[in-house]
Amino acid sequence: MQAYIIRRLLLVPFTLVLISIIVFIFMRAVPGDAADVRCGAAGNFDQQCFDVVREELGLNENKFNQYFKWLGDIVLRGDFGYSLSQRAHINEEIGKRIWNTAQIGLLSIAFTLLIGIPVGMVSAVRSGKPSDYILRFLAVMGLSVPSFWIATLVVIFPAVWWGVRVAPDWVGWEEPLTHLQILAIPAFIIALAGGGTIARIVRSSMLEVLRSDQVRTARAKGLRESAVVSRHVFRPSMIALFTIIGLQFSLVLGGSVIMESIFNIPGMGLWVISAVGERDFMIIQAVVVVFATWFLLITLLVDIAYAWVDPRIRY
Amino acid sequence: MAEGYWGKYWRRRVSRRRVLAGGAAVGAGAAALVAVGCGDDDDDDAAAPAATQAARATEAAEQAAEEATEAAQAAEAEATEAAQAAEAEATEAADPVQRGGTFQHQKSAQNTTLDPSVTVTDPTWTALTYNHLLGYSLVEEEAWGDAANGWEQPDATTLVFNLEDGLKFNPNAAGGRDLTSEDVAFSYSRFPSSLSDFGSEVNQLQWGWMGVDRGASFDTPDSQTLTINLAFPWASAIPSLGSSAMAIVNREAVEAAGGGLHDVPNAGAGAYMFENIDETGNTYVRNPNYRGHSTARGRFTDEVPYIDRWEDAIIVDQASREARLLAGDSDVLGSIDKIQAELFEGEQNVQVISGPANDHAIMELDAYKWAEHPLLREALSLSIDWEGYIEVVLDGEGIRGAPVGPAFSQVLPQDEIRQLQQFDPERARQLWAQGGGDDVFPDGFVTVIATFGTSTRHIEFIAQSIEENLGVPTLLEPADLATYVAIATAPPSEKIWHYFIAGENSLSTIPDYNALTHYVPNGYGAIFGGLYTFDHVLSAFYDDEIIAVTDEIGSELQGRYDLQGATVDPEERKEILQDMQRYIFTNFCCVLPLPVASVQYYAMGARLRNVPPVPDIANNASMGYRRAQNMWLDG
Repeated sequence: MQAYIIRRLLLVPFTLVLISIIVFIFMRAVPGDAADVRCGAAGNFDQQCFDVVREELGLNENKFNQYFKWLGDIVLRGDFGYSLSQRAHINEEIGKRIWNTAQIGLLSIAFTLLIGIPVGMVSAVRSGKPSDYILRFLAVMGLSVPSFWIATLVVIFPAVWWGVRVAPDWVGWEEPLTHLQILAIPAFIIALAGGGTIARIVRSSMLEVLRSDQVRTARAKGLRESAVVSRHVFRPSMIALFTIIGLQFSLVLGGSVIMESIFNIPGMGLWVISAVGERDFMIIQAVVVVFATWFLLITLLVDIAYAWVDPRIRY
Repeated sequence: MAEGYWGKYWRRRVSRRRVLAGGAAVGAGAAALVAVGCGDDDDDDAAAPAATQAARATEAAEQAAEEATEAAQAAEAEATEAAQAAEAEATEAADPVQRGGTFQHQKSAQNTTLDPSVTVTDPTWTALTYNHLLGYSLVEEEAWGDAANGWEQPDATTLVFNLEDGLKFNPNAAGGRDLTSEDVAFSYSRFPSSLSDFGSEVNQLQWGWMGVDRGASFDTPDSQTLTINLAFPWASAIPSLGSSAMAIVNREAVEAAGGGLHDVPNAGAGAYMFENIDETGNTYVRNPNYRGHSTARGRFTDEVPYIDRWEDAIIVDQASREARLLAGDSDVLGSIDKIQAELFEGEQNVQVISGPANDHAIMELDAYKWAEHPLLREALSLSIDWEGYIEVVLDGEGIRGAPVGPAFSQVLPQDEIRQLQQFDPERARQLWAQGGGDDVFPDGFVTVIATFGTSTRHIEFIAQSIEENLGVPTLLEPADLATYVAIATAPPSEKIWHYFIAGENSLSTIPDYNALTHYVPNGYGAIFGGLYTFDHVLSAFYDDEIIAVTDEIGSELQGRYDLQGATVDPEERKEILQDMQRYIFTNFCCVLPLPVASVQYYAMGARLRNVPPVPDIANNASMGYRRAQNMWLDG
């Protein structure tokens, strides 16, 4: 197990370097850069401005030099450099924003489990009955309807119908209830898709266990149905959940980009959306590396937990 | 040619009013069909004259009906206007001005810099925290003194300004010392160095007219008198001084920051100061050193502005911005179209301000590809259904566009524009064949669609019009902002597009002459349209062969442009400007003016009073709502 963890940890930097190369190349493959945006955003493109800005931002340098300088700063000093468009130090901005994104992420994972597990359990236990069909329909709906569409409706309809907004402007923990209200709505919307996935996994996994010999034996021993489900069905069914929860983190990261824009939450997602429009390579690269690191570490933790929960699994 | 799915689709995007109008037209058409006997499906020639006559009869009937409706509408509009005016007067008399409150502003992104000589992409902070010599109103067609309380122009190249008494910078700028004429001269002198040292994105057209880098000078005989000696005569000097870039900055603040104000929030003498700047937006409070205007005119007040405070939230998502307005949490949404204006009717937290628009939209042709082919340029223009564009794209509320903004007296009359810019598909095809169009452009055309724009109907309409009437397809290339700019301004030999359709807001940045700069090499004509001349400042970057193609047309246009700029007499200048417009309309090179909206709608919070009228309302050059000190909040 220890050897496996070491192997996986050693793979992390190689994966990150590969990701950094890919994002670096792709960002520069498309036409336009921060100098284009700065010197032409108002339709007033100016060549002299363009030349000065490219020089100032180091965009005239050889691409290899740009890449290795950027990578070197990260590896040697943990420094992501300066934004090309916002004159801000990227590390400082990450420090301010990552916790906001993490809060949405954690809350949406919690909602995902709160929605998915009960729905999956009830659906499995009442398999083939109307309640099962209704819950499965809702799970598929949650999976199918795009979260940005639901979010837009949540933002616009209360304002149109009743002249109110359900999502207030951003405030921190100094106003805890408002802060939780701000976080809860986007987190819940992200969780709808994840909850649908979890519900389906839990249902199929529980159905498999429900038909197993151990459950038949438990029932034959005269155990109450609730005890059978909670002790002999639910626990073994949860192993499959670990893998899915790991994948939910990627969904949360992707979802945060859209949700933060719609609900105006100053997190990593909102930041990267602005950076894409401004062709701010430095921010985009930094956010991709941070997100990738986050995802790789979560995946590793899930794999380790998987082996810990199910002793039959050996790496 | 059969209409495609998308053609039918955009034709379907109509307002309720147009649906009703369409229903009436269908009724009239059905009646006409009954009259001519619609049972005959044969496409024989004999049926054609009857159908044509019926169509003409229907058209005549529709025209008569339209005229009657228009007359009725005009009368109704007059009556409504009179009633509104009376109501407004009564309201003004009954409602005392309320002082205080917070204006809730919203925008989509944070400022990229805080130096007014480097950026004007967000005019809010420049308008609030800096003052200017003047403000200029398009509606009133006059300048109002801001830092200046008097001015005169003794000759074509000399402007003399007298500053208000007791002007002071805010307490954070050099301890709030007096603002002097030397600060104004210093502020205007910075532009060339901001361009060379900081890559300023302030368009040179906003300050280049002074000729600061070409021999202009400033005299400051005393602390309250400033004389600007222009390098060459410039007829639009006074309106140009209202431009938001012409903010007056504090010299010590600039010098302490090493020459640039990128990160210096309070370096001005405007009515407000930055209180806070963070990733969620900005807040502004009153500048305690600010006093009113001794000769307050227009929207300037003789005391401090009525509103206490401004909050400017960064709201990226358009639906969220709309929700904030509808919920009464924001006082401004911005420019909206006719359909959305109708949707906002009856909303208790919204007021829609409308009035005559002053827009400019263009179809830029890449001169490198088109300059050698005058017949093909004319064919292209003739193939576009200009009136159809007004009906479909502008929802019937449009006028024919020109190189001079519609709010200005120098613009050509609508009838003359219709004569100069015709829709004639048959002639278009003849000229296209005569000019060998299919050989010159064997693969059709390419144009660019902005993925960040709110509507693509105008581009789709023109592409379809050209395809239907000229038989030449257009590939629509989507692009985000950075790609859009890079593609638009690529060097002549590297432009992927044949024509490029762009609405632009230069008329709100600097009044009158700015639209015209799209048509000349020293404006946007070269960098955007590839219309280079041999003596153009960037000509060294390009081959002589390329410039040779465009020099003749470019020189002619630039000469006329320079002449109008140097002609101070209004009547004489008008004549030159109108001749120049005729030249542009008849040479089709290399910009075709597009029809523009005749009415502009602007969505604001219902509690606002004294909101500036359209088209001043959002005018960042001068007296829009950001600088309207007599605007106040009701409740």
